[in-house]
Amino acid sequence: MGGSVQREIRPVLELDVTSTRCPETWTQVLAALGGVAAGEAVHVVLSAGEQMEQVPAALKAEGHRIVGVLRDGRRYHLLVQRGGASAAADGRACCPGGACGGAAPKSDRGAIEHKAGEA
Amino acid sequence: VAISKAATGGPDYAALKAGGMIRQRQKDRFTVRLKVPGGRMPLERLARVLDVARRHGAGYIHLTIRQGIEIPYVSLADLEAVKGKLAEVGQETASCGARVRVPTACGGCEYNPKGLVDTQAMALRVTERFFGRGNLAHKFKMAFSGCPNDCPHAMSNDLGFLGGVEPKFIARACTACGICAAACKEGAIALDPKTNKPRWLREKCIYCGDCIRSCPVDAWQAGRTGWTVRVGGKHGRHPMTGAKIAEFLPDRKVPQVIEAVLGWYRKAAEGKGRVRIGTLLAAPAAWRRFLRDLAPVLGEWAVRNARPPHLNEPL
Repeated sequence: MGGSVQREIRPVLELDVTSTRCPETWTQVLAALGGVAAGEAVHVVLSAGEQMEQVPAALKAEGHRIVGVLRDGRRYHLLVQRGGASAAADGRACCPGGACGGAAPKSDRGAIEHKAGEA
Repeated sequence: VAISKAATGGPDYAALKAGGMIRQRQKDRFTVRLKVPGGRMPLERLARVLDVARRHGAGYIHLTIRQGIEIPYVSLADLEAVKGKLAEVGQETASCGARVRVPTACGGCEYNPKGLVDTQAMALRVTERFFGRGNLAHKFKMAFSGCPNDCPHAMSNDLGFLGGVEPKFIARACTACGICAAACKEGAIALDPKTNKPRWLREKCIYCGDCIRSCPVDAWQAGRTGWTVRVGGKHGRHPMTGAKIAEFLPDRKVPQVIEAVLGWYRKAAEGKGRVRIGTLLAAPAAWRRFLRDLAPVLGEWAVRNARPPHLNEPL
């Protein structure tokens, strides 16, 4: 086992999606988070591989917080605290680390103008 | 391109082809190829294309392999009228033959969560400056991919640009949760057996940014962000994968690199007939010359010990 858990946050729900496949994995995780209040947490169990390659980043992009992780072989236990407003809505999810800060001006074509190499 | 008569008195097919009007096997019928940089077409133009195709075409349009739209079966007599109607909404025709083609691109960072750079804006910039440049030995294709996943197949273009981000580790922020190592598809993050803290293995990293996107506490952050540049790729009968010559190239350097590569290609192909740049660069002596000539332009972004492009399947 490796990782850390913030013990003061107790999950109100546990969800094991290790037997699911994309996109069911993500819809189940989203549904679970949709069923709790902002600030409450869900204990999500994921498997190594595609689930761990995709889900943590997607949770972050949606504005949720992973506040604890425990690894048990190929299974990962994530304590996910539901966020408030979607991070994607304010543009932060458009690039890693928000290279444009979500504040980049919109071009006349509606594109966010990133300045590659000047982040 | 005016629908001029060639010296023989017939249509000037070469001029028509250069202007994106390509002769069909049917007599006096032409396929009108439209310029659609990065595959993005505003709806106003699309509506006009529909009108024109209905009136002058054969009941369909053709989506090209390079994100363009073609209107087949336009008669020679209608070409001027078709061009005029399209021009009213700013829709230009594309090109064919030995010149710089319309660049392709994915959606880039604007709405794709994996996107690292603005491919659409760059495809437009590059189109404005380079589209249609001729006096080349063969066609010259460019593509822009927002990330290393390379959905637009930038690696099999004469010049391909792929977004990349160098991860930067902020040790004090790391909680040793191990998510980054689990999220990395390349095995480029190793966890310390005792502390569970990550160690970055640069030689395995392809700069996709998955670690940055997945880290719950932002211990991985975006460092240098820019374009990985590949040269000499092509599809066709004998496909080649482009060779990596630069990493994290900033937007402002992209036009300079294109200009330099085109200039090199024009000179190096002299007297060699109809040859793509990848075929030239596969020769070791030419590759060495190319790297030497490009070094001042690539500057600090040049890849060390760059290896030449080669045929995917040796002849």
